[in-house]
Amino acid sequence: MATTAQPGTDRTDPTVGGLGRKPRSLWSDARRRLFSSTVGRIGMAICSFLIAIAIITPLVKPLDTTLNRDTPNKLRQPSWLMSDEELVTAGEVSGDRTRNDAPWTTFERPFGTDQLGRDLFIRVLHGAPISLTVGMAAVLLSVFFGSLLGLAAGFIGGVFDTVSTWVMDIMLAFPSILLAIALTAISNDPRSFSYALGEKISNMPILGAIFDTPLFNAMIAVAIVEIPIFGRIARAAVISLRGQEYVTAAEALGVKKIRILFRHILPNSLTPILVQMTLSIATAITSVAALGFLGLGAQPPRPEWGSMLSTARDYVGTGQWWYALFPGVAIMLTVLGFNLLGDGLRDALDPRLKA
Amino acid sequence: MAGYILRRVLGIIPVLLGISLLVFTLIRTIPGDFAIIALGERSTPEQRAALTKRLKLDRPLFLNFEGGNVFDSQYISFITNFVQGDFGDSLKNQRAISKELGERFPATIELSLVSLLIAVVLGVSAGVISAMRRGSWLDASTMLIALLGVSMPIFWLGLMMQYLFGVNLKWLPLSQRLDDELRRTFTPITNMYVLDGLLRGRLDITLNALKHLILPSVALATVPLAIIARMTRSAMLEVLSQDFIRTARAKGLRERTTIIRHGLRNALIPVATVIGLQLGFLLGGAVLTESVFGWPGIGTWLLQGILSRDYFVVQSGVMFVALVFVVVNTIVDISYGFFDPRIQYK
Amino acid sequence: MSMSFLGRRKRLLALLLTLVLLIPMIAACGSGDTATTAPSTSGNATATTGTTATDPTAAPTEDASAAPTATTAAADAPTAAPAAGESDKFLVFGGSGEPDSLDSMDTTTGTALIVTRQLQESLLGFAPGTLEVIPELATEWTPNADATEWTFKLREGVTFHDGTPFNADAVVFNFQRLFEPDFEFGFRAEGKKYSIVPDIFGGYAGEAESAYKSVEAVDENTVKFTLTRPVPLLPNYLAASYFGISAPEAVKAGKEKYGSPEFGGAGTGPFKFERWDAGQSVTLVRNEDYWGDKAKMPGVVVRFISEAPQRLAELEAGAIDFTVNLSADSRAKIASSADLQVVDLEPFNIAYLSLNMNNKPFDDIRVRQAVAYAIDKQEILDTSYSGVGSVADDFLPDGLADYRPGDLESYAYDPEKAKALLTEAGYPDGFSTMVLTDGTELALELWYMPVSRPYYPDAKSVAELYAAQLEDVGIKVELKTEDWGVYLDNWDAGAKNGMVMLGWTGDYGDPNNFLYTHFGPGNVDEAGYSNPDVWKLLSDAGAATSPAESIALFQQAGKLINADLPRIPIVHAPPVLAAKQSLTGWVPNPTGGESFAPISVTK
Repeated sequence: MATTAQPGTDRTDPTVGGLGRKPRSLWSDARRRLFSSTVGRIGMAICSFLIAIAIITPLVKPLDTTLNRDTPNKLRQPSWLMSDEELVTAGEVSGDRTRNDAPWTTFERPFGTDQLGRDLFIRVLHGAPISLTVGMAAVLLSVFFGSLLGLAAGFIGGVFDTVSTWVMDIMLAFPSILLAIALTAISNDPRSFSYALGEKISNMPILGAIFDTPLFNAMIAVAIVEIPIFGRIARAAVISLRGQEYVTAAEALGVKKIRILFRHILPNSLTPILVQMTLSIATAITSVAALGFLGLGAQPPRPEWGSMLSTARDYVGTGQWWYALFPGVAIMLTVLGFNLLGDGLRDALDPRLKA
Repeated sequence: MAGYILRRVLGIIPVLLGISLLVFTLIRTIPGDFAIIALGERSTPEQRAALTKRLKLDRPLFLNFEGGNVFDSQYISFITNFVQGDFGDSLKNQRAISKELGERFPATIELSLVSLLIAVVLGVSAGVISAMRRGSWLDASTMLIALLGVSMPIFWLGLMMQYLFGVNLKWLPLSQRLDDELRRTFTPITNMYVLDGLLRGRLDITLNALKHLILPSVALATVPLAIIARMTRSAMLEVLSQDFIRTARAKGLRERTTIIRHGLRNALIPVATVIGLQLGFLLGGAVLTESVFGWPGIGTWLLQGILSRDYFVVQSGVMFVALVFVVVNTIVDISYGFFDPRIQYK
Repeated sequence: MSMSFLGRRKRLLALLLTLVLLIPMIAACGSGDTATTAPSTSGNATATTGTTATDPTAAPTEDASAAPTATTAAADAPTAAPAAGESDKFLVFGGSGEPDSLDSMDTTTGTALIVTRQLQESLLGFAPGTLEVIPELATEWTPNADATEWTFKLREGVTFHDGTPFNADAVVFNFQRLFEPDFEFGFRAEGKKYSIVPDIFGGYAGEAESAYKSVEAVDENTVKFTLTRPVPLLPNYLAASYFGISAPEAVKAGKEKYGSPEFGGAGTGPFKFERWDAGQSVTLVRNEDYWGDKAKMPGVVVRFISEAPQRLAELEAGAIDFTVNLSADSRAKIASSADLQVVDLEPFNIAYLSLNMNNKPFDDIRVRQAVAYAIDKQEILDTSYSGVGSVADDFLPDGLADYRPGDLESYAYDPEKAKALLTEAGYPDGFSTMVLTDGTELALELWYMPVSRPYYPDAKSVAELYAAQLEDVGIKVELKTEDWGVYLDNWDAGAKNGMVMLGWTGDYGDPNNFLYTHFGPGNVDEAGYSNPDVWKLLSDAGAATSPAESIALFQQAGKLINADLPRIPIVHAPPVLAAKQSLTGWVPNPTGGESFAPISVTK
């Protein structure tokens, strides 16, 4: 926990560097605030719960997305709504021969089954690692590129600033989902660079379980769309901090500009970026799900919530409400969790409240 | 003030130029020959050549350095034609894009405006009530609903509402803007049917159009409504804690007068900012809502255009949406001045 | 100043509140709303009652005298009271998508052809519900001895919707436009494609494989087709909806926009084009000058509802009167409803899975066989077709069963055999990639259609089943889809690798409509199957003049195709059609194109 400006330590722990003791108290203060606010606590609880599911589900019950089917029991309603006879019949017709025709229990299929008789409960659970990874990965990408762009713009200034601000303004002038749709559609062309990359990723051992090529492209598109948001925040932070005395002092002492940027300015713009990140994860998860719903994201049989909803939509008219209900609730819950966490963080870190 | 407005309006131009460059470049980077897209893979080279010539796709992209007029390029033509209102024809069905835009854009605008109306009226009311009853169960439950609303995936909400009110209860129509029988006997003026019904003195049209609007507009309004409600509540709480409210109360003004005239009026300023920001969300969200409800607006059209590679539709359509978006945002920005006398124009 | 703004804002707020209060009221009077509009419709509708009274639920062909009186009574209404608007209700058809064009010769999609069939009639037609060829715009037709010249006698006194007369010149104009690449009014450079010609006639005028030589007007009402080879089934071809005759003046006036939403289409059919609301519907009105039995209803609205469940929901809600291509699961739901009926139709189609033989490992017959053995067609039929229809061993549907070879290898579900074949081919653990001709290795793709068609009403679910069944033997696929138009375009161009789901509904009663289309030279481009023996047999079978000879040749070809297995036939599925209980007169045709003129519904 070195707090002095020693070379070498800054790289390992940039958040702590530069400002003496003050940041530590800010962070511990913030943590205290976060834990004491109801909103923050609920948000954290939901997010931790989902992350736990995302980690545990694949370990406990690995999903063989294709083998897991039971076509004679297709489109069964949640088993706790089924009558005893129905449970017996379901057990008898089941394609699962290991069960020896034993009747279903009340919680055999708590979310019902889909058009191939797959267990929706299991599929919805398996959507969690997908959506969480995709949401977080998208945001990490946009934070990285966005803040880099914003910091550079604010720091270099001049023509570079003008042009990059102009580009960011332009991107923000599109309704974001429309831009994401267009980018996904373009990158889903097999001749595009992003497609080849996506194909590589989808063949990797662990990432391949999360991403298929269109989902990867959707994630990239969502990340690109969010870049200007972080760019603006980072740029604003640089500009507001440039005039600050400690920065001027560092400049006067002959500290290299790039060093000032990463040691003094970046850590201090982290607060708004962190808050925005949490909120952006929520947005990214909805956007990726929306792309999946429009058929542009993950492809079946991958249990991505948006693409499950896209299939479920076909069964809303014939009365199988449960198919669309549960993936949608899952999306809403996840988004709610990150929104609450973001709100909590903002309250905890907002300097105005602290004052 | 006039100077400020002028500067803001002029400031639109570089952004629009940038948008046009971005749209144009994005579309040209898509692999594939426009002539093949238009004529199909089975077309002969002669047919393709003829189409390329007719649409002047053989010219340089941005600037012409091959002799002749430097500005004789595809991009410059796109811009000049666009400015003159000539958006070209669809590559797929040969329809004039401006004509289709004229039918579809009003549909989206109508949907967005009704949604905005719902969001503002219900959102502000909910926020004010919550603030007045701070800490009550009413406040808590309103804010809980608002939280859920903010996190709502609207395509899913739309689907569920369709199931509940359309399929199950059969109260409201599932899709379309008007019943077929009515649309057939009715010639629209602006293509905003609610308005057209009034203009033509056909109340049945207006009512029917509103009935068709309920589900999609409520779905679309959900997120902005929740955001506005939350914003109103916190703005109200902040205002109500200020000295002039105490003064007003001390003067013996009725509580309602205090809250409405002094509280709400001041709280509305930040709320107006949020409302302005929601316009963008509405235009974007319209893509999803329209797709769920089969609403024949600009969202479904652009989505279809992107999917079917009807690139002229995408080019002109996206450009048009961005234009509207930028103009609306600028108007909203400028109009804050009318809401908030504290804003100084320099 | 701020006071005045406050006042204005207050008024605005009041207005907004009033409007918002109105919304729930409108919602509440949902049912009341229709009730209030109803009197205004029946008020001026003596014509309405006229139609309903004479409306025959009996056989539509026998009321030749009753029908015209009914229709003329109703006919005057729209012109008599245009201001009031609603004189009689229009028929509403739930189409399964927006047509790409209303120029019958420039479209091949079912969603468009069902509309053009109402507008542009062909020289010949099909007897209701069958594939039997009957006169339509031509009354007689005679071939020369070897069927290389066909003379058609045209119906007299017929006029196009634009008032111009239908005659031999008009017919010649249409076929020149279709066949001759340099025809002045073909507008090919402007975007017209006429892509059906190579499929049926082998190519455009002047091309080596083309059967077309010339078309000429013998006299005012006689047209002669000259062909490069015998085409005994020409009348069957010309009965297909693709060859609807358009009004030449309309084509000239519309140029490349003829058939587009702005222009619509004009022919001699029982309905005239009125308007096309982009993304919503096409409205057709009754042709009062129609030469035959005039339409029972004053018009048809063809809605574009691409999702099958949406069509079902709209039918249940009463918003549409009849529709096609519903999912198999909806059968039970419709049957249980007192207001709806399932309209039966024999399947005249094939759903298949095509394997691109240009890709390794599908160039290996053992791999293709392994795929066929790995697929449990019965499970697919039971799951995605509700068990209705039949598992297909051959491309020819039951209607053409005579032409099927007797002893087909059915490739019945046998995963063990599939695994053995894969091992033999060098893939003991299965495979998950494919290698294109240029050497690139990609994840193995399985393409599913983004739309519901009669043969694959629920393509996505079937695709998931294929994926699951193939996984059982170790073949891992990645499911893919794209916009339907692009899908077909890429298919035609051979840009679809791996496995491709597609199907076919017959256009007329001819085995070659199923076999030559899929296994003729066209397949070389599409999926790399090239067997000149098959081509020869199919051409000869098509040109054979005696039925026995033709059957023998088709059976030989079928046998070869069965052994080569470039495409795996999956099921023949009856399309799920449904209508309101009160709708009568709808006799769907196996080809998927029938006139809506005899249909009536009481509203």
